[in-house]
Amino acid sequence: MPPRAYPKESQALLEARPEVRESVTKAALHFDKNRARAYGEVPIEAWRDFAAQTKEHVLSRLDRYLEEAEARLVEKGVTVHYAEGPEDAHRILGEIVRKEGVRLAVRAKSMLTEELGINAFLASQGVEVWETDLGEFIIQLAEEPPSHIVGPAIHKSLEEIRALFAEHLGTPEDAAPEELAAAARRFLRERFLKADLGISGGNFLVAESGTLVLVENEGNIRLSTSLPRVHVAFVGIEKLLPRFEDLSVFLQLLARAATGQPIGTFVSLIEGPRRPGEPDGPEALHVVFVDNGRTAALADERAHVVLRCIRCGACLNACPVYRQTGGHPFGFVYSGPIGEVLAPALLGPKEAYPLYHASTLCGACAEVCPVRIPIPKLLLYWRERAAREGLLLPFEKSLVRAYAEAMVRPSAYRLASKAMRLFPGVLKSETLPLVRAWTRLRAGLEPSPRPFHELWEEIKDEG
Amino acid sequence: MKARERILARVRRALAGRPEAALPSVPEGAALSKEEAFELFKTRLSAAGARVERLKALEEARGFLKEAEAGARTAWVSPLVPGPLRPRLPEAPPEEAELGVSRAVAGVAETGSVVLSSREGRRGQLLVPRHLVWLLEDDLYGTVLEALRAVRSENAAALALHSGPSKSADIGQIMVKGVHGPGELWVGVLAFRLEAAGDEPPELRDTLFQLVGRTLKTKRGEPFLVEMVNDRVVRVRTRGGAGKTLEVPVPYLERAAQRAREGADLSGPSRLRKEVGDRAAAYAWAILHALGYV
Ligand code: SF4
Repeated sequence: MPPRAYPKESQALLEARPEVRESVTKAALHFDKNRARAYGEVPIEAWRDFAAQTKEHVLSRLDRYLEEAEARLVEKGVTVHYAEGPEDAHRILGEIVRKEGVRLAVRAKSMLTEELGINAFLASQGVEVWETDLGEFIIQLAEEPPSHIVGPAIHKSLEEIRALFAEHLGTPEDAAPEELAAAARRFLRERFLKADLGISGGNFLVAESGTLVLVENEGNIRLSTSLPRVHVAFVGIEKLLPRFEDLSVFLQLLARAATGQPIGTFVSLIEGPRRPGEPDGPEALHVVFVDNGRTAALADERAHVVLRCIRCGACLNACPVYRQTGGHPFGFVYSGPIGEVLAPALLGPKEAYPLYHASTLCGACAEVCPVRIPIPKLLLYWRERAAREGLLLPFEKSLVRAYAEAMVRPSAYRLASKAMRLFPGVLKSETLPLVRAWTRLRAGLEPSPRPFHELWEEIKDEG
Repeated sequence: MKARERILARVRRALAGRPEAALPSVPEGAALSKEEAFELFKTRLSAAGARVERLKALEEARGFLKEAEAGARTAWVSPLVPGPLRPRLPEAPPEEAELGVSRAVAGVAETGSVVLSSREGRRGQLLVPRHLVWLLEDDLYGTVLEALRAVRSENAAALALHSGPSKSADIGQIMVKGVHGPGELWVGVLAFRLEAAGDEPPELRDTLFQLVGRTLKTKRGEPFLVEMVNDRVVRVRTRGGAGKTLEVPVPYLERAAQRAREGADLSGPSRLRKEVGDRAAAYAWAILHALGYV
């Protein structure tokens, strides 16, 4: 299901499964409330400046930092690989699987491995793979992709999960959440102890020390990277941080943005395979630096800022559009505001069309982003490019033209908006096809009592 | 390595002519007093669902340990945990143990975290249902930044910050503890010096653990790091260049400590060699010196 299907898919989802909207909204608002409280407890604006500037610095000298990170990793006994895209990643992983005789793998939640289709590839190699994050495990059983960066199964209600576990793990129909979690724990514990290979992503990789950093709440990532004899970590090239001490801010900022915690419950700082004298740990550690569109994004001077993203999911939680459907209709690994601007940067505006239109430009995402990615500005940039590159459908073109007409000619705009306030019935009239499509699944449109250009005169000076 | 060259070339092309963005300095947090640090540590960890006590004497620590032992039949114990703080339960491998006992290399107040090292083994930190962690009060830092600086010299494949019991809200947004990792985290902050506790002088092997992670100096002034201590050896790493590692046998140190108690003159490594032989005597002497035996 490609991004192009977004309008159809989102509508179909809202009609066929209204309960998804309820689950997603509840979870997202819960995350967002905790984030808001957690931001208030620390010097958040200074931290956001620091994080945005640090990421921007790394990106501006990414070649140097990649070389530095590689050298430190190699010194620590890590095997470093580079993958341009899924084919390279599969070839590298295939070689490791064959050489090490891997039969069973455990996977720790990572969006990058979703990008690369790692599970399907391993299955094709005859390797049994288990998702070990509870949310990921749920959607693996349901055979669905994740619907949120941080909470992959937030679209699933307790009832659905009960039914799923009853079918696959034999838990009672009315099992409590604790019982369900215990059943998953037992099932996965066996796999952890038997697995030959642990696969992870990487939240950060410190260039000066070659430290691979992973953040989580369950402990499954620590288990996946500690128990199996081989650990392979897929790391996007944009994940580098210059200094070990940078972690002091990034670890706290990530957790506060994502869930409102002071820090992730488990943070792993990994510097190579098991050392002499240590009782356990993997014998081999591979780090695979992945491009998969990131160098293309970097080359775009305006759009490259998406590479600052630390995948906290705060923009998803804040987004009124995302909250209606969750991530599935987006048809891309990353959904919500960041998905809307990451898709065109990684895949190109054609492939990503029309995701960057799935926004009201309300700006809530930019308000919360811990690395200050100006998502609304980027959405406009991609819309403009799509228009310039002739990607709009004929129907939308005429719409956009009319809109543009109204926008560039203030008198026409004022006239149109006045008309709407004077005759609000126009917006309620279900005879207009555009209005009908809008209101079928949404509350009816109410024209603002005062025109925006008037409000703007008042608020623009506030910054 | 074609992919490497191609990726690096694309990065360089993308950045050609782009100025270097400035790298800001890392913000320092507010410094906390010892009391403030402990209070914040306790507040944060308790909020995350862990149990935290400040223990002012060995007696109190033993009491805390006893509580943690309740209901458990077996235990895994880290080699970094000294004798008096080891549970009186039969030992079991981490896969089976019902209690795990670790020793943190550092603690962080602002996030409520203990920092654990892979030197003691990782399975015991993860597979047990109840995890008890000892933390020396001297190793508790106010900020993440201070703690990161302190553990930077740790020689370990992996460090981990644990900031509460394992948890997940992936099932219908309901918080469940003990998913995968330990469902209970107990932290005992040791606010006393172990050698000063009790009437009996502590065994040498029970005091050695305090040196782990510290940098000592030989009599000639050569700095070295105490990397690891277990029941058999003390492993040290010399500074400078790549540094080499050496192992000092614990029984050798015990013989020397015994001779010192008997009044032998062990005023330097050469005297030590004469009395008990040479097993990395320069480092052995520095260790005994740091513990006050010589
Ligand atoms: S864009 Fe910002 S808010 Fe959204 S996931 Fe990335 S870092 Fe978080």
